Amino acid sequence: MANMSESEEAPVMTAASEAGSSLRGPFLWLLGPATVWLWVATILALLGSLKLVDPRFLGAWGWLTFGRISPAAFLSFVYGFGVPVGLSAALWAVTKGGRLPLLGRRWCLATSFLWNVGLWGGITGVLAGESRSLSWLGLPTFSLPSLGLAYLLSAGWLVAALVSQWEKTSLASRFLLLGLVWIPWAGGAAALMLHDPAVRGVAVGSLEWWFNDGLLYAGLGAFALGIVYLLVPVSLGRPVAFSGLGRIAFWAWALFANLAGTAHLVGGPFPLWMVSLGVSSRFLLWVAAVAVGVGFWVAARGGAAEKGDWDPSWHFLRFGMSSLLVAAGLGALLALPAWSRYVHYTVLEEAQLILFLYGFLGMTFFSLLYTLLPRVLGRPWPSPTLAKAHFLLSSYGISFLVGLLAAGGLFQGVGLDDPDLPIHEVIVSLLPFLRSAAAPATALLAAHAVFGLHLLWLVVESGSSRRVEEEAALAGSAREGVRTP
Amino acid sequence: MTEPKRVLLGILLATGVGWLLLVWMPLRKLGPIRPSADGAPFGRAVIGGKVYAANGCASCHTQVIRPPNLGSDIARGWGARRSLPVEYQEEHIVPLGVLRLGPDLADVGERRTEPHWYYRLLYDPRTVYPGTVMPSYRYLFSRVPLLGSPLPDALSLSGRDAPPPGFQVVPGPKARALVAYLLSLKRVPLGETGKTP
Ligand code: HEC
Repeated sequence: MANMSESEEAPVMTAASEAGSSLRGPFLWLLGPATVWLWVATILALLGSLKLVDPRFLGAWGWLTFGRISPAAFLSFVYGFGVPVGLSAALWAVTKGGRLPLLGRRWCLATSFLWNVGLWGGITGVLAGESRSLSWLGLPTFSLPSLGLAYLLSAGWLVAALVSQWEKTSLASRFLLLGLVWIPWAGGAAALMLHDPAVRGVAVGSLEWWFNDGLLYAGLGAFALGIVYLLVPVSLGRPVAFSGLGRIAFWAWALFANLAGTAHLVGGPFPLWMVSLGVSSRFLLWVAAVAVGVGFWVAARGGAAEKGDWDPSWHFLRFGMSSLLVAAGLGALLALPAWSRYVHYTVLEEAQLILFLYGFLGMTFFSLLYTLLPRVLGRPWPSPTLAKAHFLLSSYGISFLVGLLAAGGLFQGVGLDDPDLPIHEVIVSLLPFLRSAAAPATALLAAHAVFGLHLLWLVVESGSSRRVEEEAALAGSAREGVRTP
Repeated sequence: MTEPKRVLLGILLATGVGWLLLVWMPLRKLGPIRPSADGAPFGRAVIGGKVYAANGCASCHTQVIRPPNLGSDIARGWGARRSLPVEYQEEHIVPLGVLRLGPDLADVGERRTEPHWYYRLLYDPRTVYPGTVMPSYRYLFSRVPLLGSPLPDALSLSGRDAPPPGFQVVPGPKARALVAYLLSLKRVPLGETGKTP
């Protein structure tokens, strides 16, 4: 560990305050709509949970039926919020807070436009009943060309930029590259195969789960880990420790994320080897996550965090890493046959998913936004109180939501395992948990509303002061982020 | 080859391994190898499968019977033995499911054989299961004028559900297709038990 020199994860943001206004547009095109999608996702999720509490809530409109809004909520979170933030992370890594060539700007604009148009169409399609209900592959066919084109326009350019300015030691670039490449590769293959009439039978199921876990771990998870490697030097002033271990973790992650999906198929109509492969891959993913986590906490112990002021980015990042370790561990343990017997198909699995999505991906992504936006917009976040409120509301919201679903899932699982207990009673024993879960879900909605308002405030303030600052042309402290190390 | 290109190639290969093992192999080994005895499902049942998917029935219902050591599915009477790949081999939509807030439906066509029962359930689940969380799917039904005697498919509704005088409620095309699909879900003939491979 002695050789953990500063150069390993080159401190990316040294030139932070130079953030050219040329980056303002591209990031706002990507992140503005992403924030809106975050609200859409949260509102839909809350509606879904209310519908479970009372199925007669909001009547029997087809487009608001539980089976459509609950997938729509997950899809809007992942594709509306997750993917654009992932692209922003890569964009930030290649521009290093500097300037963006004109070509890159145009591509970002085209991406943002095509992506959001495609997604509006897609989510509307899901609500209108056009989905084939294949979890993360659930967006209707007609939205795919626009989404695919949008992604490729940016990803192609970003991959080329990452490759051309490769830093030997940068683990961040590796993880970002994985996310950038995996999504179009696997998404394209999956979409083409699903529309091939020869593809039928249980292979559709394993295709679906190959893609599901791949998207979460190798796609968005890789973006989030890339963000961890990007941000730790910014927040702590030193890189994540043990970069050799990190490299091994990277390759384990890239490989096993592709094999983990079949862990979901325990007990299903699949040969044993497929299921065992999935379960063992989940364990190895956990090991890889722990390897990254160890380096993270070693860096945190020696790092310059908590130098008095409250750094939102660091708090979100730490919550995200903790969630990753717990979620990856749960993902592995719950798939073990001894557990799966009780917990498979219960809301405990949903709790694990939510911890991964909102706890790990969501919080890590927010951490990026707290670091990135002030640098790009040239102003600090206007209100530390709002940032703190956002963090507290979302961390408590996520913890209670996951806790309630996990506890409810245990009751549900034990109940389902008892063949003499009618299913109605099993669900009745679960309902108090689902009902109480509406409270933390509301807290999450409030958290996202706080973030949205704060962002709006920042954008308006930076817009009005842009002219003045440009004239002054000073790299004064006002242009720096909330906390620049 | 430079390092970034090696990394890029490695990523493509790692993803390819997943595709090969979890997509291509199952397609070869578990796909439609030989034509099934009853032939591929057709007509209404196929459309019904799409209705099932589009309305998210799979967010509460699974279609998998697990073996006895992995759950009480068989003891609950959801199927006589664990599900096998051949039972799905002609299906384009394979709704294995993610969450069980209701019973498994892999074999529901064996248990419930009466179309009217399904119409009633879909129109208002609470008349069949008081207090259930299953939502109503009355948007799949339509209200038409009553001319003479009610149509054979018309639902006999009373109380709050009853249509105004001079009208009747009949299942729409989607409800009919959905019920045809549910009736076709007879993956494991009752009484048949089998060795799992
Ligand atoms: C919110 C969850 C939920 C959704 C969505 C849902 N169901 Fe159900 N369903 C249930 C529950 C719960 C029961 C069991 C009723 C009880 O005992 O309370 C049930 C029972 C059934 C049964 C009877 C099964 C048996 O063994 O008797 C059928 C058939 C059925 N549902 C079909 C459907 C179809 C078709 C859809 C989609 C159009 C659907 N369900 C959507 C929760 C749901």
